[in-house]
Amino acid sequence: MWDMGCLVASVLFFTIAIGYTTVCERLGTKEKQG
Amino acid sequence: MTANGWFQVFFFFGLVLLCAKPIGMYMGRVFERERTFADGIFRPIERLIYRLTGIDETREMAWTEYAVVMLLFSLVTMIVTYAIERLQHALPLNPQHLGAVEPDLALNTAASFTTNTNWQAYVPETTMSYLTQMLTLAYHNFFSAAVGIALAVALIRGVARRESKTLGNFWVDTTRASLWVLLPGCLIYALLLASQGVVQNFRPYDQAKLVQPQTVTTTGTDGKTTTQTFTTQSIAQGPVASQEAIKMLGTNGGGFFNANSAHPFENPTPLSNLMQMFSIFLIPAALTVTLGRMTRSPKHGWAVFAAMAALFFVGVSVAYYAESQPNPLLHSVNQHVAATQAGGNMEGKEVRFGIAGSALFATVTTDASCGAVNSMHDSFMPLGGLVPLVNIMLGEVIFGGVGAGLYGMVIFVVLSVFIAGLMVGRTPEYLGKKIESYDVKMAMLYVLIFPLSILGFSAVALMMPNLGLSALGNTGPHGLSEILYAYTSATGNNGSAFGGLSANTHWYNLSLTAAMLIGRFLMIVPMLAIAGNLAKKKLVPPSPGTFPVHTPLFTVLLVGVILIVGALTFFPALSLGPILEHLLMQAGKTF
Repeated sequence: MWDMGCLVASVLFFTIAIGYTTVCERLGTKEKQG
Repeated sequence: MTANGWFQVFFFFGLVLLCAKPIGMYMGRVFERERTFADGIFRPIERLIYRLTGIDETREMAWTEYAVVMLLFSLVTMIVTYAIERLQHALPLNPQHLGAVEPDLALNTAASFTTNTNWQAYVPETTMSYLTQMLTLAYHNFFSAAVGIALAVALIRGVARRESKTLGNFWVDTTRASLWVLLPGCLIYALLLASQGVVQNFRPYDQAKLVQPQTVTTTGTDGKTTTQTFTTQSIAQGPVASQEAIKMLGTNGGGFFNANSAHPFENPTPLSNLMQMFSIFLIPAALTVTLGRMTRSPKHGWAVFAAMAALFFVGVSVAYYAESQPNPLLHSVNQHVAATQAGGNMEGKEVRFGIAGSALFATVTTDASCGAVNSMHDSFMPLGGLVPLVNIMLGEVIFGGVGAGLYGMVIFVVLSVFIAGLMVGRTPEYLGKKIESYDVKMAMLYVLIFPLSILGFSAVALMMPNLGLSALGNTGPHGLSEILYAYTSATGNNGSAFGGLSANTHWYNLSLTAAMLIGRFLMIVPMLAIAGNLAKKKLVPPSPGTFPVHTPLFTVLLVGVILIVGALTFFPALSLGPILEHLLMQAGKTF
């Protein structure tokens, strides 16, 4: 149970980090368009 | 303070200064793919790695791809590390028959080594098998450092390139950092450490017969008292020299033994102590020269070096002074320097290193995000302990971790030129690139995530008596310092600890895991975004309004910005921790 939780938490964090990368990129694109 | 102590400080820094240029120029050649003397050995290995893994070394990546690949690489290696820790009891090279690592501790350790933090909430010699130490922890010592160097190089390329959509290839940069920089450095360094007495073997632990048997009485959780008499002592062994080399050169800091670099098998002599401190600063200092070389502005690289050096000397002076002073609570004890005693505060310090060697090591290891310790920071005087804490709170930019220190410093450079631009009413420029709104927003994101994690987690821990406070070894302001230090060290990816906090609990293992991951990856992303944005820009010719970034004025401004950002953010917390403890100590109270 713990092992599964640790695995899911790790994957979740890195998924958030990848999403955060996309948000940072979009912010840059928006700034250029603005 | 003694002349001998100051000689140690200046001799150490002289060595760093002497070697920064050749190593920095060499790294510049490696990452600009120019010929180096080591190509004959490493180029065939590099080609073989790319052929086996299907990597196209000529293909470059945009900043987003660079970031995503780095994140996925880190995720996979972190999971593999976790799995090996959990399965170590069934794997070879475990002569002590150590069991599987507990899940929350395994996660904490996997995150710790993936992020170059090397926070250790465990006793290595009774928790980790030789295989776990060599296969996973040492692997991360190499690759987390190589990733740091690769990221710094990507940022430098962002500054140096014009109208480019790419920053390089993550795989190529990481491979070259490992093969050309870390591996040869560690091979030589491990032999030098072994020459000083650092052990390197696969033997089971030695059993030594005690001259005087020891009787220990313990009380269990059920209240029963048990008395045991010990006649033998286990003396831990292992492949230490090879681990120690990358531990220091890669600014990792995770000790093979629990006592870390205070252990005589990890750091036996004053010479090995000097080598360890030198190796912590070597690559971070050299990267400033690489910055100057790759941006074709060597003076800028030296201006950044000067800012780091100034902050280093302030830190080491305060730490050395604080530790050299007599403890005011020990009224009747002679604490003056003499041939038979070091004077000042020797609690938690090794006699073979003394006060200067300990204060210098503590400053170096927290300036760089190394985290190795040769003395116990918890036993420092309040103002002595303040120095390591502040060093980390300034963002690990005083030389900093390999790569991480330089990219952190370049973020402060961006903020400094922005502030200078505001002062003179001109669009800020950095080496011919206009610093615009997006760059400043990303820089602020980078700067704000850091205190948000440290202060946020510390506040939550302080509000929860059963989770946060129950692990404390001390009360009052010292207890606050212990919690603050833990989250500062984790978020700053340093890994050193104020002893006194029993951090191997579910709460601390999990919350510190989160702090380490946030402090590494959520700060790298905005940094790469700045790099990607700078790379796309055209070069603007210098004008009378351009703020030069190679002058002493720039260095002063950069130091000022770092201090103001750090001081404003953390001063209230520091006032309630080490500063209050110092004042109370003067009034005769201790914790």
